[in-house]
Amino acid sequence: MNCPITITEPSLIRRKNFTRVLPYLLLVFTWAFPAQPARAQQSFSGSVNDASTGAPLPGATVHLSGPALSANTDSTGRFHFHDLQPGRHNLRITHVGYKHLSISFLLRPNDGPAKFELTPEAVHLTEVRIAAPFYKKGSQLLPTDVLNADELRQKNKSTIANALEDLPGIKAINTGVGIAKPVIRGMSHNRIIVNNQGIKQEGQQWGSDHGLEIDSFEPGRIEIVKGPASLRYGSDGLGGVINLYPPPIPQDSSFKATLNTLYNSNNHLFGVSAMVQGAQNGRFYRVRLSGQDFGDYAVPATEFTYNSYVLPIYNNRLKNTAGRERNFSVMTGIKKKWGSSDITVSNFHQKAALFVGAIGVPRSRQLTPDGNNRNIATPFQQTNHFKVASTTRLLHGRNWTEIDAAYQFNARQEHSDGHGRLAQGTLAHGLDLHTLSANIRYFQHKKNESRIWGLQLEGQQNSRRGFEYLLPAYRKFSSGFYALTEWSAGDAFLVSGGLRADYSFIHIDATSEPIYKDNQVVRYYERNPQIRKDFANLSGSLGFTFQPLEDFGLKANFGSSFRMPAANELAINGVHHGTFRHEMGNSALKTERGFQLDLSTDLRVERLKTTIALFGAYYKNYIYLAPTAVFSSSLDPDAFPEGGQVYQFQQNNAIYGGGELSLDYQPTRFLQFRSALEYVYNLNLDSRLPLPFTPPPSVFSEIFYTTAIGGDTFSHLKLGVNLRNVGTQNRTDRNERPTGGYHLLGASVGTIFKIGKLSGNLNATARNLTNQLYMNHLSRYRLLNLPEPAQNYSVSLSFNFATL
Amino acid sequence: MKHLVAFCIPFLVALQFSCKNDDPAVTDKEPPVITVEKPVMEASYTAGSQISFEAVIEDNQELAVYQIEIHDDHDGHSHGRMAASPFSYRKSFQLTGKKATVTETIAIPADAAPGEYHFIVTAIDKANNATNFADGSTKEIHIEITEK
Repeated sequence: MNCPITITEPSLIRRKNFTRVLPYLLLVFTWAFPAQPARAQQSFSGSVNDASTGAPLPGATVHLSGPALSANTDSTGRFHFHDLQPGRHNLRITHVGYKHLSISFLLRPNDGPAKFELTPEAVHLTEVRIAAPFYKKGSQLLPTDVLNADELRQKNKSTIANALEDLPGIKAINTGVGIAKPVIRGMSHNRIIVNNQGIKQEGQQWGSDHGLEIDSFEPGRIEIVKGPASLRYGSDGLGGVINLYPPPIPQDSSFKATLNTLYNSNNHLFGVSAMVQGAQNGRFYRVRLSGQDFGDYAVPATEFTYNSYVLPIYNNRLKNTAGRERNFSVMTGIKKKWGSSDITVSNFHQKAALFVGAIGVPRSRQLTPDGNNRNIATPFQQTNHFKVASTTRLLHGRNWTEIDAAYQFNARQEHSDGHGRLAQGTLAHGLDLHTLSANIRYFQHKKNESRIWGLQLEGQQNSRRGFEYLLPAYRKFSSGFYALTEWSAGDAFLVSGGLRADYSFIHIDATSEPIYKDNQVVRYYERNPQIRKDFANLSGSLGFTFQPLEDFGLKANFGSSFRMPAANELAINGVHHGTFRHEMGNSALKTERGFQLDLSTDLRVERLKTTIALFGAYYKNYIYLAPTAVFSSSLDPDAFPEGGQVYQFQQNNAIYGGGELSLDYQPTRFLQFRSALEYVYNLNLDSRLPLPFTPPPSVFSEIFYTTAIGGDTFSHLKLGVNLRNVGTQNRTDRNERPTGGYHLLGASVGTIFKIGKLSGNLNATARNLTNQLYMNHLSRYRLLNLPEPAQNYSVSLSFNFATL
Repeated sequence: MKHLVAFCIPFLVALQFSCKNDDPAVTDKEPPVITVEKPVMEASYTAGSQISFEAVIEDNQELAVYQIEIHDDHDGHSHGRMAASPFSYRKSFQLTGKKATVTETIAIPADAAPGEYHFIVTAIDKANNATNFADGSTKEIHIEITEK
């Protein structure tokens, strides 16, 4: 039985005649054989694809308004609802970058999976419409997670990296509570890329206590690609990529205002973000202002042990861990028949205090309360990230060109009370990094093939100030050219491959620091000689997707990826405060290369969905910091007053492996159970030891119960309980201590409300409900034996006012 | 019941991981152990006199190097960053074998600023395992230098 559904608007099914059908969503509805015998309670499943390429669309939101149910499409573009009443339903499918689809349909017993297609907004432009940019980026062959703005809000987290932590394979390296950087399958720092609006975020990402400099209220959608992504995104992408996309470009003649607020009980964080956007006659704008203020955070402990002393934690609060953030962004653009162009000017500003004992050895006299839980005293760090970014899309029929250009200025300052000889006050490190980037991408679409040609260019200049020394001034240029192709062979088979060529060079200035005696410069110590290096590289990948059945799919990808040594790896020479490690660069380093295999499979058996993703990689010339049997004082007795053990960057071969196992079970339509296990294994093949900062195995499980409360204002309530089980990490590198496991209980309550044109979300979450004392292996303060934050309750309230 | 079972599987797997103890001790990851005999805690010295240092340093495999560092604790915040005029001393010494009894005589300049000082002993073994402050394996002795 093959029964096409009748659609009231005939234009919707006329796919070929684009020019007439344009303003509407394209929809193809095919009903296959009934999958299950008839019963009173009906399930409804389907898939959502891109109408122009036929590629599955993960992360689309499918909403059924009657029972107020929502589902997101998975990585293969599929969704499922259970226990629906047969009868008429109103369905709405939305996806950033695509026109939304709203239909009313009759759900009958014996209906099989439905197929929906969404039309990209920017392709067909005979009418002046405000189009959103294209979001189908990168290959679907690597495991990809998607978080949309609502899901991001519901996490109630104050940083982006922490909001991603619950996803399988994603972690964060924290310094206290305001500073966090993402980790993908154990890779972080310069081994992953964060792209914001298509532009690679360039800060000082080599440092563990350098957080991500992006407003957590801003992204409209986050896509995390786990696996080798340097082919598409360039050097540093070998561990994975986090793509942050802005909300869709506002529709013409629309106006929207939103207000987001967030409160955390633990550190009394107040966060607020206000946004207005609108569009008229092909011109659009968006303005956002955000701020966060937080106090010292509480831990479930009154003391900690360090340097053989038991040190006090007064009032359970870690002194001097407060902070604040002030961000703005202004975007404006134009949308015409030829395409669209926009420009965004934004600034991120964060000032975050560091625990008084985090620099040097903590002493009990430093820890007495200063009477203010919200002040930011020394030591603290201040990061300012200014960015001007522009994206232009030019349409050529079914094909289009994207041109990104951006300027970023990252100014990072670390302040501490030092014994600086120069009149530089408390500024220990001042690093100014200027980055100019340009990307050109050409997208080609044929019937069974889509291709991307890309060119990436980036120039950087870094300078330094301050009485301490780590990183020299340098200039860097990198360029890459690539082509990626996807062929589809029938409905079930998709092959994807790509090639890339890169060239880059770095010029590092020779640096000498004066040695003083009795306030006189007596001589100079050379921190690093002049270093001039260039790197050229070829890489490629090949993979396939095989989806023989609706409920079963298989993906495999083999890629070669690469990473050029970063400036710190080539030339750093200084003592890292807190760790007492003297880090030394190595100017002989070569390009690091990875050979990575990724496999994943999706299987659905009735109400249980399982995803297994496995990865294995061999890295040639993997760069890491290796300890030596040398103290700073032997290098120079006067240059390193705070000297410790010398660690030098080396390269050797290493292996990585592991995976994620996710289960999604919906016993009834009100109940959903999700659980994801993750594991990372790695081994340095030279030292035969694990690599440092490897995340421990963990399982994150959640149960959601959705109940209709039937009000006009509040339609339903979603209750959740979650549990994180983290194993002990005994697989540690030399001089890295094991961290014990823990179990963390959390809960959430959320609802959506609507009053006329005003709608909104109210979410409350609780973290560490049992107030457990535990250590996080990836925390910077773990090195000081400090526990993680105590119990925290968060409330977020968002209002949206929209005219369309 | 069926979903209870499904619920338990990941937890069981997690338990499995947390109990697993791979990487047999083929690699030496044990840092040296330092026992400082002299100076003793809160020992007092006159500027211009000598500190006699005596310690036993042991390792499960082979020792490599140790360092003595003396710096002032005058202003009470983090360790000094420059060779400042209050007395400071920093020197490392090579070691061999599994156990070493080390002695050193350190002269305090006659013009050393009086006050509290930290006397710190750190050691590294042949496999590059180092003692550290966090677990107290690096030894810190508080001493006082008084005016001549």
